[in-house]
Amino acid sequence: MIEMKNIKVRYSGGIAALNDVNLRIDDGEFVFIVGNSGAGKSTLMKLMLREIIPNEGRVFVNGYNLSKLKGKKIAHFRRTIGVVFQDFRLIPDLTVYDNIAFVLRVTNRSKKYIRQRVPYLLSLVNLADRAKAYPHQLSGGEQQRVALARALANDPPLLIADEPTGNIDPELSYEIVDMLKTINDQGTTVVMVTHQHDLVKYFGGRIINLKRGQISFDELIGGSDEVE
Amino acid sequence: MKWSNFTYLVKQGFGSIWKNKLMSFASFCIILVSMLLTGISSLAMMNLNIIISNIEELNDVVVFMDKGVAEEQINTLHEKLKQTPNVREVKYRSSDEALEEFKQRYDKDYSVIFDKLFENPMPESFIIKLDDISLISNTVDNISTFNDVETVNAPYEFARFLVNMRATLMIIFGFVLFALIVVSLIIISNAVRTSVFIRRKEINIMKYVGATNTFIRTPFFVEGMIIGLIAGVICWLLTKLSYNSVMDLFNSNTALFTAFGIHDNIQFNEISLVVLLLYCGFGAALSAFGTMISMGKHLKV
Repeated sequence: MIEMKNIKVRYSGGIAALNDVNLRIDDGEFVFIVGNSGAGKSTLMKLMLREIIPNEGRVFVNGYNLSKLKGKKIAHFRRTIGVVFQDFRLIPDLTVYDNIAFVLRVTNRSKKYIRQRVPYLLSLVNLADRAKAYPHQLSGGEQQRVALARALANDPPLLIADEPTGNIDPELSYEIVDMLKTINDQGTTVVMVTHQHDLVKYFGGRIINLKRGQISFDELIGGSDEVE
Repeated sequence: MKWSNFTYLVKQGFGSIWKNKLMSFASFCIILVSMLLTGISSLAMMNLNIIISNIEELNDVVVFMDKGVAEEQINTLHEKLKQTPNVREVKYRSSDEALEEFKQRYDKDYSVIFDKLFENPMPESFIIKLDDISLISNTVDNISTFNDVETVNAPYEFARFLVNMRATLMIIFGFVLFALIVVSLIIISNAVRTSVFIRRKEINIMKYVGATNTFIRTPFFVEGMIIGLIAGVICWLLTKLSYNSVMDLFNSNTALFTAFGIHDNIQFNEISLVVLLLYCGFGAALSAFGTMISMGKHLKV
């Protein structure tokens, strides 16, 4: 669950990135966050990941009060979230398998668990046969699927996807969002930031629109895939 | 941290040395050169110090007694001198011995003159060696006040020169050593910062998946330590080889040998282990902590 109360974020120079934002995302929701560049989408993401803390207001994610987190606790908090980035952020000199196993090692999982978990995650994103490949040998869509498998490694209750389809072919974008939907169906909360309105229109769901640092629209809309 | 994770991190450390061959080699070279310069100049200085103190030892203070003292008075003064602070060695020289020495210093023809003397003009004397030549004037002043002491002859000028020379060399050496260490630290931390910067993406990703700082640091720490240790061992080998070949040069050339008074210079074998441990310790610490410090900024995500 994500809860933001009276959030104000100002960057140096006094520019307000977010101004009086109130937001609540319940467990099991699927939320699109849309808005023009500069509207505050990235700042919102950074708040959820505890990359920054707000100048005013409070942020609660998965039961953690993010303004009060320190040191090791930040690391532990981040293990409860899966993150997917626009630029994939895979480690280039690790294989697909190791890129995912790596996250599990970070969280102190046993070797036995890792040996079982990684192939399962790879099959989940239909990449079981690419385990030994390196990121540069994969297409953009495949790399993002590896990133997705990595984000799911710790079975997080919350998945945050920051423009996950920004760097891949449009037709493959649907495949990625479909996967996110499937993950959501199994109970994981999904927050996806995007500026691809066609995707939002197609899938529908809860849409939060940011405009000049404020929420201008927050409603459920029906997707065209349900109509068809 | 689980043991299997620890071994994994150590393996990662080893692995990343190979993965980042060029940067590892660069850090290795920098640490090697810095430590080698510091180590060799330290050894040179230690030897120079010994040489100067050998020269200092050649300077004797001579205590002349009043004429015609009795044996008992001689013995009393002998004991008293032995107990005087800063006096390391006291040697008695009778007036007969003194005359004999004096005669030998001159031509045989002149020595006849002395034979004609019916009284020995030489006083009884003591030859004294000091512990610390820089305190020579205090010691001499002290001895001058003793009973039956006529005069004390001391090589003030030469002693002062040696003491000053040693002090000056120490200051120069101190500066050189300090400069070397500062320069090494700057270069090493820069080299490490570059190698960390190259891998900042990797560090960033680790932060996002919930790695603790310890987890991220350990491989870098291991990597730094290994590079430092290897540099330490190679440094030790190079120092040993160069030191021994310089010493061979001195030993094979009698002129140099005598000129520099090297008779009890430091034998490398005696300090070999200490040098090895110092090099490895400093190398590993420099490189490992250099890495950790340079990582700080990237860990704040």
